[in-house]
Amino acid sequence: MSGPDVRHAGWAIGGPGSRLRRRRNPVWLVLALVIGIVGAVAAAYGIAGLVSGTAPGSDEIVGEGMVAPLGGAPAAGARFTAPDGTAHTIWLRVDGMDSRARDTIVASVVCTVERPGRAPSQVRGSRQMNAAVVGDLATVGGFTAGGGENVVACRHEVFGQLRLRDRLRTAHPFVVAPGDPSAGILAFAFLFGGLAAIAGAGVLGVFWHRGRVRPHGSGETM
Amino acid sequence: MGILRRLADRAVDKMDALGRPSEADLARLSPAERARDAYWQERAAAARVGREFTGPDHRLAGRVLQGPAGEVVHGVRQPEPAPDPVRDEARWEEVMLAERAARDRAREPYLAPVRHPITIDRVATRGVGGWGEVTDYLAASGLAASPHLVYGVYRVPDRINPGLTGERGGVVEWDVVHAAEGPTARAAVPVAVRLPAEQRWVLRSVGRPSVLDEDLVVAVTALAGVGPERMLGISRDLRMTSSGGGDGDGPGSVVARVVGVGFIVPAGAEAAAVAEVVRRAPVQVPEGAPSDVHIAVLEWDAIAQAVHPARRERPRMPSPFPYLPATPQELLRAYLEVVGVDPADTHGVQVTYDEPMDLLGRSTGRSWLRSSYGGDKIMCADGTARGRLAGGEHIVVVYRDRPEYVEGRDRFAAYAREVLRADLDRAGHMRGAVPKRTPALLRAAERVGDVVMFFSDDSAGSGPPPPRYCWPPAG
Repeated sequence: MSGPDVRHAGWAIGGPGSRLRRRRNPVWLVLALVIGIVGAVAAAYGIAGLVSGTAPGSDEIVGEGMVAPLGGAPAAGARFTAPDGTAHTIWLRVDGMDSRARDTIVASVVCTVERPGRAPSQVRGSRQMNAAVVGDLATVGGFTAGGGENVVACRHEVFGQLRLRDRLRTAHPFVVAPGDPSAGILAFAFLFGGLAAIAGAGVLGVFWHRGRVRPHGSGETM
Repeated sequence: MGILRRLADRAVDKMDALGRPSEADLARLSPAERARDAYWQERAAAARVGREFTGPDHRLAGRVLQGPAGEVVHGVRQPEPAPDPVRDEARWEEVMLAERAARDRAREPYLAPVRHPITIDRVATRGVGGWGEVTDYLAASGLAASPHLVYGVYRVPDRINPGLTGERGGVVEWDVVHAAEGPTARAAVPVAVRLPAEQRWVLRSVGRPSVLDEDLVVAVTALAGVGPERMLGISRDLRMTSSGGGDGDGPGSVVARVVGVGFIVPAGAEAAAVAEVVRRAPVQVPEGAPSDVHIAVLEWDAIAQAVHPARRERPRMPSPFPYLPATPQELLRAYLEVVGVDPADTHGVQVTYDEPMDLLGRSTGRSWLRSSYGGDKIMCADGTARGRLAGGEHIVVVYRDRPEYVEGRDRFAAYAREVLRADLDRAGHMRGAVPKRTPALLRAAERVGDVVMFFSDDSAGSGPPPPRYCWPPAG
């Protein structure tokens, strides 16, 4: 509200009466679009990964076995046939466990994988960055199968607090299913990275929309 | 019986005298508090002699607004039922101009015998480059070569597009008040000098009067030998900060703060002389009002509360109090025309703030209008309509004094009293005493408190800012 006392004189930088146009740099818009599209694709990929990266269904399980109790006799391992070079994941059944005991039990699992045509491999539950827990299954770790019959034998080893030690003296069932245990984490990374890129594209879009009024000249200040 | 009565009267007088503040106590009061004290003294005196007190209601004592607006704003009486506000823009303009014409007629008897033309050109700047762009405008318009025709240049104290974050990339308007008939040939770009408020430019000890922004500029330019005829304007540097205002977050706040003062002088020897004075700071600034220079500070905010309470909308038309000016620029023009100020005598004119002021907190009306969003789109200087939060607390006019201006100020006082029914002079409220510095331990505790308040978003507990340009105190 300026009233009759005030005369509108345009932009200061254009001199009296100027009506300068706001100039928008298309580079910002293109950058915003590219980053936005890349972000959207990444987020979609992440969502798809999360949807498909859930715990294996019963039809996907290729082998089942028991984790031998701490100090006990070896238990029955999982036997399955797989093509050479395929990624597999060992999942521990953790239904009914409280989260603290579950983490200790998962971390105490050590599995030996006998693979045709490849050196035996050891998978430790304590060596994964984070155990992915989906439903009543938690990941112990992943390995690459050899072509033919593979054997996975697991046992509990000493790990964690003494008061939880008794929980390791019990055998726990495990299963083997194709897939990479880090797929879930990767999916999360794609999702959040994608969302961040979309947000960044929004900021660039604001920059583009705001534009610049090109200076006619600049005054001197002290 | 007569003796007993005399004794009783004497006892009552002595008791009155005991409760009466001393001269020293009165000197510490603000003019408004002194006015209230005088009011109650007068009322008590009337009661003592059994005389009926005929003065105004006690709720108006020491207030800026008296008369009908004061009575309504301060709750002495209920407002009259008002006609529906005009929404149509063309009709709004028509009503506004008709009311304005009536106010102009009411002002005519008070006008100075010799007056100078007054034009207020409003220009848009990009928030980040206001000073530089305004100096460029002064050069492009040729006004920089005629500082004797320029009353002043100031940043318009409104917040444009208050819903957007920050002012840096937004639009900030400036008013150039001058007496030139039209643009002339391009002149050299003048120099804007900015003095940040948190820097100690003046040495003042505890209890001494603090420094008014314009006191500092007048002192600096006087030391540099730059008279008002060579000054292009003074503008307090304002910073507007927004917070809150989201869903469930209350109405939020848009706080205007003075963070410094700037002034514009022609380039060349004068600018060099000013730079030298600034370089040799601290500056010798006389205590109190400078001699030979008059700094008029007029209250605008109280009038705005009466005529423009919903700051996100245009002022309501018909005005609830059509005898009051609708904009601060109208009041500024009235002052210049009634006192008859010559632009060659002005150091600067401006509509600005003193203390930090929450513009949303000043706004009444519908609750959604108190948020950062909503309200009327109002035409800006660049020809684009935008949301606007109208601001401004004071009008400051700084000019070299002359005997004819003393008469002019008497005329303006009469105009304010008789027509506007208001006591607008705020100059006596400025330059409060420099307070004691908080001990280091308490300062540390305050800093912790500031951090806590920052995260709890509770700014209500923050104390008044320290005085500008003279903090910390000397000695």
